[in-house]
Amino acid sequence: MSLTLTGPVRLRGVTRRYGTRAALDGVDLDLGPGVTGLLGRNGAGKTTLMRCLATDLDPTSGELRLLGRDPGRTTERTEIRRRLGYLPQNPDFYPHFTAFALLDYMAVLKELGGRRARHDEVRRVLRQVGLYDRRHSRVRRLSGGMRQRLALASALMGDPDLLLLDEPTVGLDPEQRIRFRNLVSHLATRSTVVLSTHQIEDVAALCGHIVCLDGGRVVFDGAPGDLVDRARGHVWEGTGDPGIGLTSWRLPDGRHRVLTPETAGAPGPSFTAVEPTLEDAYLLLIGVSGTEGR
Amino acid sequence: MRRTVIFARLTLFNTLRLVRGPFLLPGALLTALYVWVVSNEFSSSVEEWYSILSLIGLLLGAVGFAAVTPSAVREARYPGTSTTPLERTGRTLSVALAALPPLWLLLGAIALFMYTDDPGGPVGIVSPFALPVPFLMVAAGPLASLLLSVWTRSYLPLIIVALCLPVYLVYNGFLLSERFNNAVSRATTAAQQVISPFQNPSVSLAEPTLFSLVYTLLMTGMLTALVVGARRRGRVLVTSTVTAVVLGAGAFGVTVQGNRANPWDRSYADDEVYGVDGPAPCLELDGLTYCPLPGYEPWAENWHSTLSEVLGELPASAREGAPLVWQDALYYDRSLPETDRPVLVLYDDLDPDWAYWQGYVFLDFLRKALGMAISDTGPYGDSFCRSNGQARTPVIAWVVDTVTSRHGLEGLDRADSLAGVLSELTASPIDLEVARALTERPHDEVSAVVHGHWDRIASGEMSTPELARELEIPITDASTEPAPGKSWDAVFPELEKGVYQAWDVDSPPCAPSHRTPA
Repeated sequence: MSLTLTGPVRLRGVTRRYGTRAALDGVDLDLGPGVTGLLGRNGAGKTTLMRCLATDLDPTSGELRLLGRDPGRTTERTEIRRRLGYLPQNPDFYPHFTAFALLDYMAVLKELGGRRARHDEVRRVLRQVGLYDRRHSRVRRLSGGMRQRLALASALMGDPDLLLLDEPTVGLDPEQRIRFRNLVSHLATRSTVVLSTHQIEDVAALCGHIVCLDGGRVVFDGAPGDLVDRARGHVWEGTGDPGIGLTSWRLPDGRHRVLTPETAGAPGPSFTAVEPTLEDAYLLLIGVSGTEGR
Repeated sequence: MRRTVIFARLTLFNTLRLVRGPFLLPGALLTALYVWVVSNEFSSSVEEWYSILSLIGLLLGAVGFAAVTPSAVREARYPGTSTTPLERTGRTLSVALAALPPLWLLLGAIALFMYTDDPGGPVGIVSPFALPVPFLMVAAGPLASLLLSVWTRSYLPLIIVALCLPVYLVYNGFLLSERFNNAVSRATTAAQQVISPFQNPSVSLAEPTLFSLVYTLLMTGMLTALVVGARRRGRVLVTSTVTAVVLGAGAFGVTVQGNRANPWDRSYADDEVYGVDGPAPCLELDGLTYCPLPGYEPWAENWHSTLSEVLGELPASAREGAPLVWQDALYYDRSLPETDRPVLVLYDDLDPDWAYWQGYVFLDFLRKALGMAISDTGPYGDSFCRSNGQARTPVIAWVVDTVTSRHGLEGLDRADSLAGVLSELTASPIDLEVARALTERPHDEVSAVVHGHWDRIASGEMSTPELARELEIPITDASTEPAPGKSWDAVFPELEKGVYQAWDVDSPPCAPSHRTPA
């Protein structure tokens, strides 16, 4: 297989196995600048893919290029890491450090200049995530949301070219989520951001590109509008029993919103087709793919 | 280069955190306090200097162990920073290295302080191969902490080490139970064997110190390899394990080879001391010959000044038979000189100004000067004929008492010393009474009689009863057989009863009229 190194992230036939189970199964992807949303149900392989992109995990097979380099080679992996920001799903930071000391430590590990430059960078990212006033608080004294922001600050340090955010908005209040979206959209003007999440609203608000995983395979790779288009004509609202086996939920006004597979028509005479949302499209996608896959 | 700079920055970062932590500075201060407390016990020999330095190295290693533990546990419990350019191995080793600059600095300062505490520095020669060893012992503490903390991911190793110290102190102070003390003793011996498995641990000998240095380097390297491989998988684990096994095997091989080349009963010539080319020259001072170990020449003047005091109590003719004064090493056997003269052996741990040992040294010196050594019982002539009933027995005791009491030995200590000397001389009841009386008589009175009858006293011809008559000393028990316990208790009522008795009652009696045994 020949590779042309164009995008910052390029995967060809990447498989990662845990024993006999394939968490990633022959994934092909090209990710460019901007925000890519990574969607999938629990166990779909999102975190495994993120860890592979973060050079924390080696693929079992396949070819992976990050920022034009091969993470399988030690020297190239180090180069990648110098330009990488990674917010893991469960950041486990040293509880006895203060927020400032922790980021300073991370800044040293990220090879960020001398002491003064390092401290300037630490102050900058602390302000970006709204934790500057808590810079002298020990990590164990911070709330869950604050720790999440601290982890985000750590990932943002050094203006990484590739920013990997695994469930970044967990624990954030609505105000912080808006702040987070603004921050990421600003970063995405010059970086490649991969956002793995279950929060469809975040994806809808931020992502110009979506990748859906199911069972370790890519089941969608395209623009959000394309995914929504695929759902058009399969989302209905109306009264009465929507029937068994369809994805539906009750709306506040008592009507039902129903998602029907491609082969099915309206769930009943009282149902009319409505404009699908990205969430509808995603649910349809993984539902269809789930049915087809099993 | 860039990674080296980053590693150095990270190490500095960790060092500053350790300095602000709860263990490093308090531990260092306690160690410095310990040094200050024991500083008045510093001997002026390099062996003692190095021995204390090694102990301090161990203490600082323990401080490093404690100081590094929180950082080591942190790295073990929260490995979430795995996608930084500096990988886990570098981060972990940085934590260990971070403790070393302040600890090494302190050890170096203490070494310098101890070395310069005595004007002119301690006597003796230090092999440069020995110098890095205490510093490596310091490094072993943080490395061991990392290894155990990364494996256990807990503070348990620190707790165990913290408990071991009081257990060791209790073991040294009390007998809790035979089983317990035996277990602690075995553990202590095993630990000592791991730290230094060699049998001639002198700081001066070139070859044994080189073996010791290589062994310590290999053990430190093995520890480092184990740290790198702790809780790792794949290539790192295999590489570090193989490295550790190779280094461990090397350390074992060095131990075997080192002990084979330097068994405990091996004698060393002077040129085996580091930097010495041939036999160390002996010094002639006023007709006495002193053969100090290489580097211990300044002590010869001290020996001479104190031994001259002994001879000063006797006529000049006593100098003719004086033994050669030969210094041996405490940590190895120095090859004996080719000589037909009796040899008085001094060791490198005996401070020449210390009155307590002088009594025994003066006793041996006098007995050898008077030809009482049995030369065919050992190279040093350390066996003597017994002179109970001969006037030289109380006279020797009187000379020893005169010189040692001049050096500050008083009261019970003086009586204790006198009784000890008489015990070694296998004294009879009349010897005890006369000796005690001589020490209470005016010095000049006794001295005049000793000088006036010296030839007969020295040869053993003059008996103790005769000397008693000469000095008009009243006697209650005129027996000349080795004294039973009750005689000692009667002559030395201030001393604990039953402690003293006549030693070496089976040795041959010294023949009167001759300076050799019967």
